[in-house]
Amino acid sequence: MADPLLETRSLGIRLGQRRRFLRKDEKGFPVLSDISFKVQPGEILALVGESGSGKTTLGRAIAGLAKIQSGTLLFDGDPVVEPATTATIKTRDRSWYRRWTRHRKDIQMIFQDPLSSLNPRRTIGQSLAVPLRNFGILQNAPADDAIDALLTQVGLTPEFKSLYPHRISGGQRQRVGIARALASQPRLIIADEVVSGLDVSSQARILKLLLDLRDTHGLSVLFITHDLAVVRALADRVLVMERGKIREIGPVDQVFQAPKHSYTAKLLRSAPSPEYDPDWLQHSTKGPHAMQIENSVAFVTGANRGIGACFVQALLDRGAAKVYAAARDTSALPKDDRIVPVALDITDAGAVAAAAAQAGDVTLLINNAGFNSNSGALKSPAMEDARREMDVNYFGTLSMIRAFAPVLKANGGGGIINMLSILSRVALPMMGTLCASKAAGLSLTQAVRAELKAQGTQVFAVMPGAVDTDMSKDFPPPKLDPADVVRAALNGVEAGDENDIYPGDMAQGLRAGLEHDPKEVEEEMSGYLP
Amino acid sequence: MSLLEVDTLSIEVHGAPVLRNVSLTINAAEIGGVVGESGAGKSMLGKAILGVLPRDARITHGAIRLDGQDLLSLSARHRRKLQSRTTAFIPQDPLTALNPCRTIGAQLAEVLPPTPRAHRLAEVIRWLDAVRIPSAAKVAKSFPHELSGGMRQRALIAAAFASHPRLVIADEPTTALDATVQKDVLRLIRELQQDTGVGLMFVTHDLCVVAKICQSVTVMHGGRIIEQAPCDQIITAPRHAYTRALLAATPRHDETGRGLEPIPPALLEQLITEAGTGNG
Repeated sequence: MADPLLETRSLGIRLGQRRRFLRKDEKGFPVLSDISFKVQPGEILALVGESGSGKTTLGRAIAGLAKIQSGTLLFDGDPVVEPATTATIKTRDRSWYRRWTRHRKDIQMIFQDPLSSLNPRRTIGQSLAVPLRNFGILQNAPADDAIDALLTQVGLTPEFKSLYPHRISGGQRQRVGIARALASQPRLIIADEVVSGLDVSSQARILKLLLDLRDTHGLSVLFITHDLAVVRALADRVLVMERGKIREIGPVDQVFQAPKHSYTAKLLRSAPSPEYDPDWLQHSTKGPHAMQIENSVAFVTGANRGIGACFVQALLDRGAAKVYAAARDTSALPKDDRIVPVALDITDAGAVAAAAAQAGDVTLLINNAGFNSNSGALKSPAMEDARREMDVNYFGTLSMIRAFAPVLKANGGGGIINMLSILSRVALPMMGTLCASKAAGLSLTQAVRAELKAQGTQVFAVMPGAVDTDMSKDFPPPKLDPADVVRAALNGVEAGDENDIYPGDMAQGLRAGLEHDPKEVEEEMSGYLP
Repeated sequence: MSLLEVDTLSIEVHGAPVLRNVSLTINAAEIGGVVGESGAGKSMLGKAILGVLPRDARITHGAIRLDGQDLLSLSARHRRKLQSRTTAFIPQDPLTALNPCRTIGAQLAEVLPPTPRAHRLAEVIRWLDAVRIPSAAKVAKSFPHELSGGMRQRALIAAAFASHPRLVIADEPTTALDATVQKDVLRLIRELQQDTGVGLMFVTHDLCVVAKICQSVTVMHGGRIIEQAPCDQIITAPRHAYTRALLAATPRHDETGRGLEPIPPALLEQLITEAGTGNG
């Protein structure tokens, strides 16, 4: 295979970096991390992802419009970005930008909205003349001929050069944008959402034009889009991005027929195709183990207060047929003919087995009961508290799952929700014992998920940040409404994508942080020492 | 009697026809799609029904009837009064459609049917809940820029349905959204539409979306109706060459090599000639 035209090795970009006088520098937050891929000459690589996935930032970074802070970028074998040049975090230092100068002619960008990227006070001809002059393409030849040739190349007529951008249609404007990018005779074009907002006929014309240019000029294209159908029509390979990371990269046909990553699969399930199907909206975003809350029979532990009480209410609201509400003290449970109170201490294995025997019709098990000693790892009487945390949060959950797995199997699969916390993945000082018990719960969830897959039971963990309940009353705000946590959990059951759920901004942010830089998250959390 | 009847409607802007002899009906509890490329006149049709035509547009012929009431014969004041209660609109771009200086809750309270002040907030929260906005109470107090695109579109959908309309016109309501969000929003629109039994006119250029949500479809080009049929027929057995060309130009994620055929210029010329000879 020929040498790649563009190659990136673990590129990373952070936003919000600042050097501060006499204070700790702000490190910003990661937008892209560990981005490695290649683009061959004459290849069309599609970059797909949802808004916020970092695909536009990546495109801009490759064009030299955003600063790359780590990693290596090679264009045609020339290291434009090297680790040595990315070491400083001086954002005002623009010297990094100069390294692009020698490739400026070869890398051109087409923007999403040509109305805002074309100067409204220049005619189309004048706009096209700028790159021709700047890059010395003309070599004293009259600009008019070159402009006519460019316009003809993109399927427009020479008459367009005297018109202003607002006078022509969106599809025509986009072709002017392409003509301007072609003016410098580039080798790589970065096309950012160039066909979104165009109707199908103009879209088809532009896609065809890009394919022709590739075939005749050997142009490489990095095609940024959120539209999977366009990717299939145009690209050779596809790179799927989510939250600033590459999830999957491969030939389009292969990725679309057999997606390896669950995010790719979800995107594909959400993309409509022009086939009449009135039921499509109902079913297809759902994963293989999706289940309905309506008419289900749920068993909720720790149901007398906090998140558990919310679970009971939400299950009834969503039409559950019966809810076994388990707690050590069942007196506070609401009265409803669909609620079956169960007095249960989940640390008592015999009682758990009896409960499973009593509740033989359960299809959804919600392990919500938990214990938080609110004491540090090295503080007395921490040993008893730590044991109690492990007993409830880990052993209790384990014995519930052991007792109920056969029940769920007998009822056709069903689901298990383990109510954990983001503390399963990060540790807070002074709460180490709680974190350890929650982390044990997460390990258990992952193992059980794999083990119960065969019997069709979906198992996932719900890991919110601080939730506004009695258990975390000492926590400073902002805290999540328990109803939102419950909603996210039950939506997860109904969607069935087999992903753990992180309700709320705090949990989402930490999850993203862990994906980009776990050590940094640990340092951040260690700052919460009282 | 249909909920909405547009009867041989023609509209001119500065003497140039933008809609020619357009007739279409939408029944209660039905989703009727209006499809076409840009410049087909589909948004103009929506505006004519809502009574928000641009100043220089003139209706030269035809009638628009809502529940049998001819809207064009009403005085402007009567029409506003009637339509403020009976028709609602879901726009394409939720950021420009919301007032940036007012909270979501305040803007939603505006469209509620007369409600005692004390119950307004509860009602607003109930609607935000109905469109599955998490932390509805918090969102009611937020400003539009604090929400994501999908959440803003949900808030606008709540606003459209909160006035208890009979007819909702949605103009490209999901074009600006990501695929997974689009699907949730479409599902939401359909659920609310089925629960409330309103008629929904769904204006879009995306045949893929039409195929999943509409019961009947009107295909437009150059201000004229090209084909009108039940949705399955439009998608599986289109009669008109233009509809077939539109389908051929639509790319699909599950098949290689689709979506690279623009509408043949010869066909477009033929359509323009037909329109010029008054045939349609």
